[in-house]
Amino acid sequence: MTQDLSPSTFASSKHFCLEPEDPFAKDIASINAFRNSSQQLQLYAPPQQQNKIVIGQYEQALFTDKIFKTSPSFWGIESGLDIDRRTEENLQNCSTVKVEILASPRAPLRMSLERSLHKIARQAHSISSANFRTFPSHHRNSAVHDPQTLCLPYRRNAMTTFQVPSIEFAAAKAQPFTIRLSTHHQMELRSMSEQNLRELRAIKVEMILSPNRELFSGFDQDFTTRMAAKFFRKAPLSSTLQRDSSHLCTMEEVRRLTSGYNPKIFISATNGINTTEAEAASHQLYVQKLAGQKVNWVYNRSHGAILDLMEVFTMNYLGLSPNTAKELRGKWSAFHERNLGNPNEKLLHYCHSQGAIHTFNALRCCPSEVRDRVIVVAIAPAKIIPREMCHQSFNYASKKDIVHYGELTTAGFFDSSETGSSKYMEIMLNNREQLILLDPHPDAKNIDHGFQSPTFRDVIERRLKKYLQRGNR
Amino acid sequence: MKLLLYFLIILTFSSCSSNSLSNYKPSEKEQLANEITNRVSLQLKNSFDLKPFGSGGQAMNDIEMLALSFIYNKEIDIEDARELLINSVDIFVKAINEDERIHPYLSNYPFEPKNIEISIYLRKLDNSDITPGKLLIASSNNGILEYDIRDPKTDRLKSIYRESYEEALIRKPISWNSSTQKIIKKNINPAILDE
Repeated sequence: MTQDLSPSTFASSKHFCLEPEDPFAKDIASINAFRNSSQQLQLYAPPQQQNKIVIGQYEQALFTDKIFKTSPSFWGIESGLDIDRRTEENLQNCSTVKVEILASPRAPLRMSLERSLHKIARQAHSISSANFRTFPSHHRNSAVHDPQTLCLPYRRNAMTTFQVPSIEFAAAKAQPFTIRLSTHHQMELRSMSEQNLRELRAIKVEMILSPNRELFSGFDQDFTTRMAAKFFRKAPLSSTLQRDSSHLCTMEEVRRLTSGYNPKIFISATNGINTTEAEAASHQLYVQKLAGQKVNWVYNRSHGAILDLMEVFTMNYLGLSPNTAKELRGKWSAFHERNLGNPNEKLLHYCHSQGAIHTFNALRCCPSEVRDRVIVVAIAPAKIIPREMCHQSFNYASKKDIVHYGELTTAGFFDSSETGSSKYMEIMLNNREQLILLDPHPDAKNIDHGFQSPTFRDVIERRLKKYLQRGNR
Repeated sequence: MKLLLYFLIILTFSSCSSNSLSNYKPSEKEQLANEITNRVSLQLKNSFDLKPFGSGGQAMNDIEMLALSFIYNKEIDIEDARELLINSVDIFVKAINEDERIHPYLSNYPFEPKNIEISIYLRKLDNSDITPGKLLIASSNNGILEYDIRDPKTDRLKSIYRESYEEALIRKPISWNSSTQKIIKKNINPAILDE
């Protein structure tokens, strides 16, 4: 059974959520398709079911001259990198990979695709070349000037479409793959000229997951976030993620993740400011690897450091977190509803930095029966989660960290008193007594505020261990 | 310009909602719990060189559990860790039971070791990670003492030994002056004493 999961369905049912509202929604409407597809970070195909997943679908609208002028090889490099980052093991989890390229009606598209088809056919012994539906029939007689280069004819006022191989992997499931599809496609994409890029209408990559399999892919994460960054004329994002393969799982880890699934266990988390989707995904997988369980990461969207800081001081500290808090409340309430008959089932929630403010605001608006389900672990929190707000709370911060002083600043600014400490300041000071600062790990960087800082690793892992022990009882 | 406009709009709305600042007020229970945990963490720091770095608890209704986490910059074995744990738990329990102001808020009085969570994370002297395979975390949670290492093969935490607080007391009596020992001995399982 094949089920087509649209991005919206996927967003609501899977592990990665974007905030539903966006102050720049109008401006970035054209990149919503990218963003939606970028939610597919960790995909899980339930048992007895196949999921057809569109990994990436890139539309022409964004291929503006501006983007290509600033970065001529942008498309090729980015998409090539992303595809290259798939592990070979991931391919084993796919029953079908289909790459569909839509060329522009205006001009021919030159791509050296044939080479890869032959290589794939040679290397995947169980797949005969007959399985390749390379090109639609009207392309059969197209002029192929070079055996290594395919020149697609074009028809005016019609979009040229062809499918670069639709490969059935089902037959090969029993034996290990030796092909490196990713490498070949990376080569092909990189070999596209800038002119070709301009003529490209869309590239659509679909993968059909085998039942009960999980796909970990950083497929278009950087692409979309970088595209968004360029769209907003922001500086290029950190390139560290390109080199960081920590968000890819090994097959062993995939097995562990899928075999240890326990529906009674629910782990949620939310990130802090200035965190890209790719970074959030990295955090998510970091916890997921430690837990061996799904982590429902509610992505607290970033609009850049400055806007995020403004949001923190003018909204969040004052109790307003409309999107993220709503999303958190929804997830917690759903868990509560699922476990109405069992009040002992609890969920574990990690929050980092600004995420702690959202968590605080979400808890404040939750009924007590839902709050009593939540165990909060606040890492480098921008706001302390009091232990009386939820079932259990634990706050950890490093001595080098300065972020936790933020709430004092807000208390002093918005609710100052000329005769002494204001009521709000007193509340803050009292809550802060729950925060005991930790000596930074020698490998900790900068102000030791990172979620994945070695300072917090043992704490995060131990809390997970305790929670899982409790959940598996 | 857009940024400025956005800032002004947000500021306008946020100033209208400044009442929300006072929506949450920590109760006396919360304040007392904070006071005691801070006092105890300081005491443990001075007595055993345990460096406090985290606190927590379970106190939505009554105070059911209070938690403290520490760093200890020394490589020790289970014997030493056990001594640290039972002494720390004892001091924590004693501090709570001796403070009459908090008694009405406790889920049970006297507060017992099962209501205390102490976690001791071991690090080397330079604060770097303990070598995998050696004792990394010693914790007392829900009356169970647990000793964890980082498994060199999997790089994950792994419990190498578990014992109840009562068993630990038998193996390593509290060296600190204590009243808790009396409470524990009342509930102790005679079978454990026979072993």
